[in-house]
Order: sequence, then C-alpha cells, then structure tokens
Amino acid sequence: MTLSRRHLLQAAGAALAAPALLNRALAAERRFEPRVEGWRSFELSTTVTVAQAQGVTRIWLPVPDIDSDYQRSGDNSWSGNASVAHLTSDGTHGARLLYAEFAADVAVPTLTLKSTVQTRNRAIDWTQTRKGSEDAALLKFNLQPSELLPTDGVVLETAKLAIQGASTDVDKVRAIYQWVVDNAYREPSTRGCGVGDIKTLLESGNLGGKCADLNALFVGLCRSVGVPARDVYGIRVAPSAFGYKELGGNSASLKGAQHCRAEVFLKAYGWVAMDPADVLKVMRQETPDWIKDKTNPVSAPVNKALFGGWEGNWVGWNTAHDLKLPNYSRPATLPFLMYPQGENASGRFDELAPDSFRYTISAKEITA
Amino acid sequence: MKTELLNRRQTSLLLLAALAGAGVHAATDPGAHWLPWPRATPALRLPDLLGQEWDLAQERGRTVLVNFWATWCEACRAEMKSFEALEQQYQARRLKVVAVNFREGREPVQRFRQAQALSLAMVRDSYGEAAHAWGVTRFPTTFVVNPAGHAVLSVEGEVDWASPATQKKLEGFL
Repeated sequence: MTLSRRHLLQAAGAALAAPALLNRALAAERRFEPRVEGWRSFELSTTVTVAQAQGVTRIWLPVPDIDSDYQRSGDNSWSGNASVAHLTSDGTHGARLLYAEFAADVAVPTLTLKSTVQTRNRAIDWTQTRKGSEDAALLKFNLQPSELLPTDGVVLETAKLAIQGASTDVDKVRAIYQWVVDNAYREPSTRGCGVGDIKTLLESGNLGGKCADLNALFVGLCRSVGVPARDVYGIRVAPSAFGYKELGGNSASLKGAQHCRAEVFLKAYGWVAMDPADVLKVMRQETPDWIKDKTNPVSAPVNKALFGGWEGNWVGWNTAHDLKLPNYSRPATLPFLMYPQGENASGRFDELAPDSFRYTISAKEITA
Repeated sequence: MKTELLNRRQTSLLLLAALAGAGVHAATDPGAHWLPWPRATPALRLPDLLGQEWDLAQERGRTVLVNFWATWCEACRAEMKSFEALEQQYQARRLKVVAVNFREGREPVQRFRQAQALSLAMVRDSYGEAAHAWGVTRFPTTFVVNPAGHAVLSVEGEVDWASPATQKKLEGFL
C-alpha cells in the first residue's frame, strides 16, 4: 500500500494536533476538590548541620504547634550533640519551637528533630452556617497590625478599594480574595517564600511575590477592614492527590516546600481556610504558559476550592508574627518562623543558603 | 495595578514620576531614583568578612558611599564593578565605598567577592538591623555620606557609578 501525499499530510497534521488536543482534554479534566475525610499521619524529620562552627551555636526549629479540626500536633523528640535542647516558646505569641545550644568546642553542631502530626483536608460547606465561637481576645489580636502588616494607610485604602462597599464579612473576604488573585502574581525569583512586607509591596505597585507576601497581603487587607485573619506558616509534606505538581511536596526531600496559608474568622462559619497565593502559584507555574485567565480549566477549580478549603498534604507550624526567639542575641523580632533559624559568633545564619547552615526536612506517612 | 503587571523599569519610572511631582530631583539613571535623605544618620558598625568591626564614624573627613546589597539581587551584582571603578577613579579624593551585605552568610559573600576580583570594603549585616535602621526595603540602595558623616542622598535601584552623569552628581559631595 502506498500513501498519497494527502494522506501523509493528514497523518502528519493529526500527529501534530494530538498533543495540543490531549493537553486541552487533560486541562478540561483537572479537578481540585479537597473534602473533609480521614486523618493522615506523618513523621517529620528535620536535620540541621552547621559546617563551620564559631563560638557557641544556637538553633531554633519550628515544630507543629496547631491543634484544630484540621491538624493534631503530636510528640517531638530530638537527638544530636547539643549541650542544651528543649521545647520552648517565643516570648510574644507562645509559639512552640525547639531550642538547642552547642558549646564552642563542638566542631560540627548537629541536631535532628522528629515530630509526629496528623492532618486532613479542609472544605467549608457554605450552605451550612453555624455560630462561629472564638475567644474575643484572640479575635481582637487577629485584627492587630504586625510590624510588616500594617492595617492603615495604603493597606486600608487598598482594602476599601477591593471590597467596594461590601458590608458582610463573607462578602469582604470574597472581594479581597479575588482582588489578590486579580492584581497580585507569583514571582518565582522571590527569595524563599518572600518577607511579607505588604506596605512596601503595595507602595511599589508591583505585587509580585510568594506565599509569605501574597497571603500576608490577603491577611493584612482583611484585618484592615475588620475581619480577623491570620497567616498559618507550615510546610507541604506530600504530593497533591489531585495531581497538581505545584501544590505538593516531595516527602523524601522537602527542600523549598515551606508554604504559608491563611485563615479568616467569619461570624457564621468560624475559622475558614484561604489560600490565594496557591491560586497564583498554579496560574504562574503549573503549566508552561503563565495562566492569566482565572477561568482557565487548570486554575479555576483551585481558585474555587482554596476559598474555604485546602488540601491536607500540608502541616502548619504556627500562626505567629514578630516572634521573639528565646536566647536570641539581638532584640529584633522575627517576622515569622517557617524555616530553621540559627546564629553563632559569626552572626545570624542565612536560612535560605546552604553554605554553612545545612538542613534537610523529610516526611514519612505512617499507615496503621 | 489591574492585571497588567508592571515590570521593574515601569515601576521605577512610575515612582520616578511620582517623586518628580513631589519636587524631588530627577534621576540621572532611568533605572534608579535619587532622594535627599531627611533623617538623622544612623550609626553603622558591622563586621567585615574577617570579623573585624568597621565603623562609619571612623571615616569622618571623607565621602563614603554605603551600598546595601545581596548576592541574590541581580541589580546589586551588576553595579558592583562600577563601584570598584568609581572608588579607584576618585582614590586621590579619598572616596570610599562600603558594600553592606544583607542577611547572608560569609561564604556566599566571600565567593562573590573573589569571583568578581573585588577589592572594595565589604561588611555583613547578618541580622538585617542596619538595613532596618537605614530604612532600606529594596536592593540595591546606596547612601551618599558626606565628610561630616551625614547621609545626604540615597538612591534605590541599579546605578552605573562610572557614568559621567552619576559622577557629576557626586562631585558636589567630594
């Protein structure tokens, strides 16, 4: 049998069109619907090594410190060559952490922390209202500005612009969530998870950043218009069950898997999960092309689900801002505690550079 | 701000326009904007790469450029060579450049210095306290400190320090 030129062209055309059609079909089928189901148990392991010790070395590690309807924080144990190591808390918010101190004659300070934790999906049922109960002082606290999250000036002006006169807490939050998705963007070159300096972000007019910037922006805007809100700093511990590569972590090596989410307190629902930063991450990085249209079939289900839910492949450390680390050599506060911290006679370690302050984090799912 | 994202240059130009409207001198470099420094000059005492303390107060009698930078900042890396050239060009007039690294370990700073064959003074602000005291939120940011020890001018963004326009601006402070 011989193929005519027309047949060859048709066959070639079909072959060329197939990947595009396949991509479109796959995109159309994308699903992201976390539902509140069973608990997943993990053991997190963090190992820190200081290659070039100078004088006394001090290390602070975040531990899971959230007990809620989506997370049960378990036990912590540690080992290594520290002269002092104990669980303690920051001086301002009481966020728990592991503090370790190494004598000056320890050549290679090493510390391993193991933490057990259970986590599960969150998904609000917007049809089921309930009386959200929370301590009034805690709600008031979550309306306060922090050092990098002011609630006046450009933040308040922006929030008013975003909510456009909305009066209920749900409408305000919905408007702010969509404003962040519409106006901010994921900037892959931002170092780490960003610093969360939302005033500078807004004043620059360039709303690019990562989770600690983008969700902090969301939180600051909500607080400024009277909706209690908080960042939740944590880490992704497993791949996404929905196949979104950008929304999961490689359990064996959680390098760069730190991720900050957000919560708002709504009168008729209680604390509700929010994550506009992950919507922007999917739009920027899930596909080879930057998705600019939030109705795109890849990003639309994420945009919808992360307003009121998130996937339980992530563990929260704490919700603290402006932490005072115990025994820190300086009076300055830390904007948030999501990465290991350390210092010695040469100064503060750079938690985002692997030179002398090396650490690995991994997670192992425990099945009964 | 609506969806049309501003790139760095556009942002700088918008800021420049806003500042120009507020009566601030126009920048000589379109990618940077200069501002008079209205505040008291903070102290600046930091360790160099050998751990020896460097103190701005000890530099009275000469003009000092204090440059806040980081190795991860592309614009910071780009302007470093021109600092070197500027300092050498104005050696007779005792101009000094001090590069203040923001919150990094000694190793990456040392590596960068060696790779670029730089000889200008480098100190480490490992806690970010100096950047905070000097109000630095973007990198690079450089301050012109006059011989009396007062910061008189700041510039955010990358500057070609070897350019005649920039040097003309500095002449008045030397």
